[in-house]
Order: sequence, then structure tokens, then C-alpha cells
Amino acid sequence: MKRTVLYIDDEEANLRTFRSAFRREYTIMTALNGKEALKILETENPDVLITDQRMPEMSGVELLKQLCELYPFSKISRVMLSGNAEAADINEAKEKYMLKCFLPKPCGHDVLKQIIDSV
Amino acid sequence: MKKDDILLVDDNSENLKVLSSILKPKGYIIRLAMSGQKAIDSIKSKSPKLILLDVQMPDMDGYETCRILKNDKKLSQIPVIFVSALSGILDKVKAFEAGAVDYIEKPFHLDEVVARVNTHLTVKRQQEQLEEALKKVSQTQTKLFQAEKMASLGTLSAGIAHEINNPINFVNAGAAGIELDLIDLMKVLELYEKVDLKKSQPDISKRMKELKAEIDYDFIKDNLMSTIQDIKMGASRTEEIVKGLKRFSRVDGEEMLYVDVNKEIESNVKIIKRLTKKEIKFQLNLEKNITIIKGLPGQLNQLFMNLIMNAEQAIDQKGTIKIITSNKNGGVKILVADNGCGISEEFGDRIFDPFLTTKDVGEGTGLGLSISFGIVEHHNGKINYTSKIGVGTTFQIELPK
Repeated sequence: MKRTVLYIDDEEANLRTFRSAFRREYTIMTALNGKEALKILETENPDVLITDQRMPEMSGVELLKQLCELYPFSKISRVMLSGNAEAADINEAKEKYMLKCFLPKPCGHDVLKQIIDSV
Repeated sequence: MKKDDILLVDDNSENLKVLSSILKPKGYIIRLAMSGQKAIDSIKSKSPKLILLDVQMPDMDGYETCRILKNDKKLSQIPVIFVSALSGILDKVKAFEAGAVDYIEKPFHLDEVVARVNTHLTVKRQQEQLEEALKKVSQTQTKLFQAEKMASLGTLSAGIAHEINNPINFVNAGAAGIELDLIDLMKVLELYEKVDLKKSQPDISKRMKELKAEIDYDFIKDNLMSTIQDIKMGASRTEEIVKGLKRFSRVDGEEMLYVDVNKEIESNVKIIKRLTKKEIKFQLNLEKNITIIKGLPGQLNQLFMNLIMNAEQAIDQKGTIKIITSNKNGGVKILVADNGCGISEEFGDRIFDPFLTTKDVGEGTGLGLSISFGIVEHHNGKINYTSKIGVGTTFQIELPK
């Protein structure tokens, strides 16, 4: 069984190219914002969640916070992929909201695959 | 205070004696010359603070001697006072035209000589102080301007870097996706090529042949793959530039720690030794009791990496890189010297400007030295260099404790 990855980014091109690059290895779900992601999580249970940080309305950290509040027992592995994140935000998410790993954007295909497979 | 030295020039030894006897007790060091030529020789070997010059001398008179001095850029700043029995107004004008600052008539009064000498030495001293102060102001201004330029560039770079990261990310991922899709698609095509349509579908078979010729099918198959490699290379190069820009903007919140520059240098030399394909001899002369300075280890590490890498790149096939560390003014001094191609004089301090590169397109971002400059500046240090085309380049860095 392929692992399922939910990828959240407000840039549609990032979502499309992510799917194009990883659809062979994983079952991909994508969301353009935190709200859409939470909607998907109502019915789906992906193995890995990868989120951008800077997004309108709900930031990546905010999404992770809500995830912890709504599904405190969820075992979903949480990764952040962002080109513009404050160290303080990342640390907060790691300490409080179960963020496992932060990756700077841009991130090469191989590195990202390694991370998805290891978390 | 250091004693001022005065050169007395007169062909008459009696005159020299008298002047000496007046000035020596006032605390001046007295030097003597008995002709214009001897005076010039003496001045060239060591500049005096003031010259008392007789007008009428055989061979080369005082006017001529003074003119020669004033035409020499190095010596023209030394004040010359004429001492002469000629009392005509034209004689005096001639003396001032030749470049004198004052004119003492013979016979002179003792106090007058001392007073005039004192006055001109004071003027000279103040002039020197003023020049020194002006030089400092101008240096500070240049530094300030540079620092401001770097700061605003830093802000701009940080903004650009963040904005470019997203598009690079999807160019990267997109290219990777297309590559995988193409590999799959090619497998399908390969199978299709094995199907013989000539008999079953002659029309389609004919049309396919025509179309393949028209679009240059074989070329497309090769070209697609290599174009994707080009796109990936373009993206990764852009990524490198953005990384450089980000470092440039110094957004890392690194902490000031104690740094042993010798250790940083040694570890970088090790890395570069492993990376280089050239025949490079490293001569390390590191001060054993090097002062431990306070700094940002990551940045300093990058500074040394940049400088040693530049030295490596300046060397064609075979060469030597010398690295010397020493303690200076309570801090440390680091020299990185190569015997490579050298930097053309025309560049001057512009080599520290961002995006100025002498390397071929794609080989350097032109950010290395401006980042280095920023790092040294950030540590309140100094960086400068000397270079000669074909001989080599030496970078000198001073970092305070």
C-alpha cells in the first residue's frame, strides 16, 4: 500500500508539480489552504502532512495547532516546507504542535522523498 | 614629544654656525647642508620638518633649490624659509614665487628667527593634523556609505530571496515530475514502435511516417531529456544565487561564541584539499597562541571558506596557498595569499561589490567577496587586499577580540 501524503500550499503550481513528482510513490492529496486541509482531514487519514507556513488566513503553524486540538490522538507525521518561516514559529510548532521536521524551500526531489519516507 | 628637525642650507659655514647656535638651545635637531645639491640629497634621504635656505650660493642658488623641491610631490610639502642679505622687494617676491613660506633678512635678529621658525612649524603641524583628520573623515564616510549600501542591499536581498523560493520550488518539482512522466511515456512509445501498422492501417502508418519526418521525431526524443536537465540546472543555479542572497542578508540569528580562527581555517583547508582537482600546496603558518575571538562561528567559517576557495580558483593548475595567522592589536590578523592569476587594478575596492565577478558565467555568483566584506564588517574588523596580475593576491583580515 502506498503511503498517503496531504500537501498544503497556497501556490497552485506547487501543488500540481508536487503531485506530478510524487504520484508514483504516494497517494497525493492537496489543499490550497488550512481550511481545505481540515475539511479533507474530516474524512481522510493521511500518513504524512506537509504544509507551507506563510498562507493567507491560516498559517502552517496555526493549522498544526488546530490539528492538535481537533485530533489529539492522530499519528499523522507533520512536516513543514517553507521558504519564509521564522525560527521562533518553527520551534513553537516543534515543541507544542508535533511538527517533526522543517525543510527549507526550495527542496530537491530526493531530499523530500527521503524525509517523507523517514517520518 | 618628538623633536622637530630643521635643515640649514648655506655655503658659508660661519652662517650655519650662528643659526645652529640660535636654534639648538630651543630644542630642535639641526641638520646642515653646504650647497643646494647637498641639501636636496639630504632631504631625499629624510624629510626635515622645516628648511632654512640661503639665497646666494654657487652652482645652485636658493631659488633653484627651492623650485626643485616644490616640483617633487613628496618634498613639496616641506616649508622653506629663505634667509638672505638681499633686501629688495623683488628678491622677496622671487623667493615667494619659488615656493617659500617666509623670508628672513640678514642681518637677522635672534628672536625673529626663533619666532618665525616656531610659527611655521606650528602651521605645518596643524596642517598635518588637519590632513589626517580629513583623511579619517573621508575613510569613515566611505565605510559608512558601504555599510549603508550593504544594509539596504541586505533587506532587498532577503525580500527577493523569499519571493524567488516559491517559483524555484515548483520549477524544481515540475521538472522532476516531467522527467518521470517522460520516462514512462517513452516506454509506451517504444512499445508502439514495435507495432507494424503497414498492413492493417496503411493510411495511419503513412501519416505517422510523414509526421515523424515533419516534426523530427528522433531529435525530439533526445532533446526532451536534455532540455529537462537544462531546466534542472537552471533551477539549481538560481537556488545557489538565492542561498547566497540570503546569507548576504544575514537573517540567521546566530549567537556570538568564542572562535579559534586556526581551527576554522584548518577545517576549511581540509575540505578544499579534498575538493580541489588542482595541484595545490598549502603552507599554513598559524600562530600557536592565537587569541580566541568572539564571533559568529558560521559566518567566520564561511568567510574563510570564501577566501580559500577564491585563492583556489585563482590558481590555474598548480600553485601555492599561504595562510598566516597572528595576534595583532588584541585581536587576530589573517593573511590568505595565492600565487594565482591576480586581480586587475581597475577593480580596486569594487571587488567587494555584490554581483561583480571575474569568473565565467555560471561559475561564480559574484557574492562571495561582498558576503565576506559584510561578515568582516559585522565583526567590526577590517578586510583589504593587494594583488598583481600574474603574480597573485593576498587578502588581509583583522578581527578584534
